[in-house]
Amino acid sequence: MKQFIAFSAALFIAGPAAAQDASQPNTAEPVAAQVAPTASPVSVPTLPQSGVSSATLTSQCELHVWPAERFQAMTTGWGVGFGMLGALADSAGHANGDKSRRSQLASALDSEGQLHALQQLDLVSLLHLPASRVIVHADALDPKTVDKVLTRRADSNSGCYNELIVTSVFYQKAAMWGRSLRTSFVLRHFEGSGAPLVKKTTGGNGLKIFPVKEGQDTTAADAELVSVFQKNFTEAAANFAKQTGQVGQ
Amino acid sequence: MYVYPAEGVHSVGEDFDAVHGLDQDLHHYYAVAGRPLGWLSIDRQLELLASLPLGQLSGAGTELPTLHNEPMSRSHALEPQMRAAETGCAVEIYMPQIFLERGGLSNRSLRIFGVARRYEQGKLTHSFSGYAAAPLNGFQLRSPADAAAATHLIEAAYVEAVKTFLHNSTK
Repeated sequence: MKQFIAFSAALFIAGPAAAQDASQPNTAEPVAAQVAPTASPVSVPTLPQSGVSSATLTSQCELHVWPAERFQAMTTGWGVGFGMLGALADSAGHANGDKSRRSQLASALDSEGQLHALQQLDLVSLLHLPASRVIVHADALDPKTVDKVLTRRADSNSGCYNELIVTSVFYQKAAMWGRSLRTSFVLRHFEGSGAPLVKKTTGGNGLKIFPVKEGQDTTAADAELVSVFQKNFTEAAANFAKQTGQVGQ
Repeated sequence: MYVYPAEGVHSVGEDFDAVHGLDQDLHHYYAVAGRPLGWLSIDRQLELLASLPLGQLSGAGTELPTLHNEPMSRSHALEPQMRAAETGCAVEIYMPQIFLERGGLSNRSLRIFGVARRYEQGKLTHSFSGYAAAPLNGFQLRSPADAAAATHLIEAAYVEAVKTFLHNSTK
């Protein structure tokens, strides 16, 4: 419970970031999912924005992408301001709703949905990587192993090898700051056989449609989740660019 | 009328309840049962669906549904299918996802995601996608002896959720 209260308080304090994002105009557009069921892994060549010829695609560089299977939803009301009992009552009051929203995240942003959303972006360019082949993995990595395993998670000997791992998808609604979706990412650069250079960050943006009331059509809300997930990645990619990273963390 | 099932069932929990990933609960349930219980396999979904008046529930009248045994992924289900060759009315029902959900402070329930589309003379006239849930009150799986009762409860909740989804889709 202590951890819960501390976490709630931390989220409450972190709220203003979400509020800034929530004030942005809603750019959600229905995204028609088009990814066929795929066996893992799937290689998807991408062209960087800077007009690289198709010959570049034969480059040795690889970017491997894994989706998240950790979904969290937390709604906090004014009760969190009334100590432990208030926080507990508040949490209990939102428990059923959060349970539902967690499943809806797992549905709209299932592995296929996350990978499809990411593949619609120019990952290589946004991450400032050299021209790379993007290889998506349908099966999420065990979250417990992401920080512990410092070797390559894909069977590749490429001399230019990077990993992008989505580690969690988190919905938050705070009484004062509104609704937001936060996504955590890990980027690992491997050079040779040494430990990787690891960067971690999150992206978070406001939600205006999700969630809808039980029983209503969720097309627009689900599309918003996908759109905000993409915005979160774009934000995270900018954060990565500012980081120097740490070896083997 | 065309009906497509889900590939299977997933479970979703929360960090505060020490559930850190998809299907963690499901693996636990099957471990306690001592064997994979194969809850809501494609064949079982089709058996349960065949027992329902799907035509009436989805507003397609007494039309007998065609139950497909190949599951559709969520993204495929969301792609409008072309029914241009159809004359008259055609109804598509996709239920590509089933979740067993729970939280530290909430009861267990079963939730489905579905897509329903109606075509008239090959033209899409109505589309709905959304969720429907049913409670799993009394669910417990603490020993292999609980497996049959738990399975029955899950199947009953699935049927309820399907009914609710189809009802919602016709509003």
